[in-house]
Amino acid sequence: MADISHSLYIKYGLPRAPNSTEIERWVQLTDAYIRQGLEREAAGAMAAKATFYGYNTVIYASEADSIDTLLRAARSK
Amino acid sequence: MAQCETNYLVAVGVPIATFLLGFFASRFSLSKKERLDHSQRLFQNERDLSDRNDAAYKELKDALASYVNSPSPGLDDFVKISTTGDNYFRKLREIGESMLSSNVREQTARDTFAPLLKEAIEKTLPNYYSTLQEIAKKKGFPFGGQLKRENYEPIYSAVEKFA
Repeated sequence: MADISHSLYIKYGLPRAPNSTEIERWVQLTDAYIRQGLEREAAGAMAAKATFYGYNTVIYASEADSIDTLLRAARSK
Repeated sequence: MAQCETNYLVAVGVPIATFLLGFFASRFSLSKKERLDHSQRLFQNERDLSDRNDAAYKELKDALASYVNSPSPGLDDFVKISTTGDNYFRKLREIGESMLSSNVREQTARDTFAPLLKEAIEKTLPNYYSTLQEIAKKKGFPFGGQLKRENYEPIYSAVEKFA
């Protein structure tokens, strides 16, 4: 569960990692949306918006992105 | 006489054959407990690698930030970047080595570590070396570092194998 929690946390830009109850609710909702005919990604995003607190409020850069930014800043120093 | 010999062969041969069979079967296969222990070991190893990488990443970030934030960054600040940078890439190398020697689960190698190393090859490593060279030239710091693949071979090989 830890792995998926972390992936959701990054993918949907959440301020904190979702717990297992929230993840289960998200899975059920996503499933329901897909059964209603929604496309997979869209279903996941809609379910995330409905389930998780702070959907898309945080942007996580990868390690490489952060180091890149700092290197660029150091270069122009 | 022949009957007696056969009996003797059965009496001695069967136990020996059973023993050998059992010995080799246990020798070349893993029990359930051994399999679980093995996977637990891999998991622990993955966590150690991640933790060490996180710590090295944080140190490099701090060194870069303090260089950027310093009003007049000097040689000390520069050396700090190159020391923490070397350490960071050494940790990535260790991750690559573990992936290549199957000391992490294949799934983790593919999903977690390979993207990290791929980004390092494509972005961080070239950018790191060119930036340090440029700063050194501009400020007259001694820096002879150059990006050479052979210094980071495990990173490249692991990406070629898993990404």
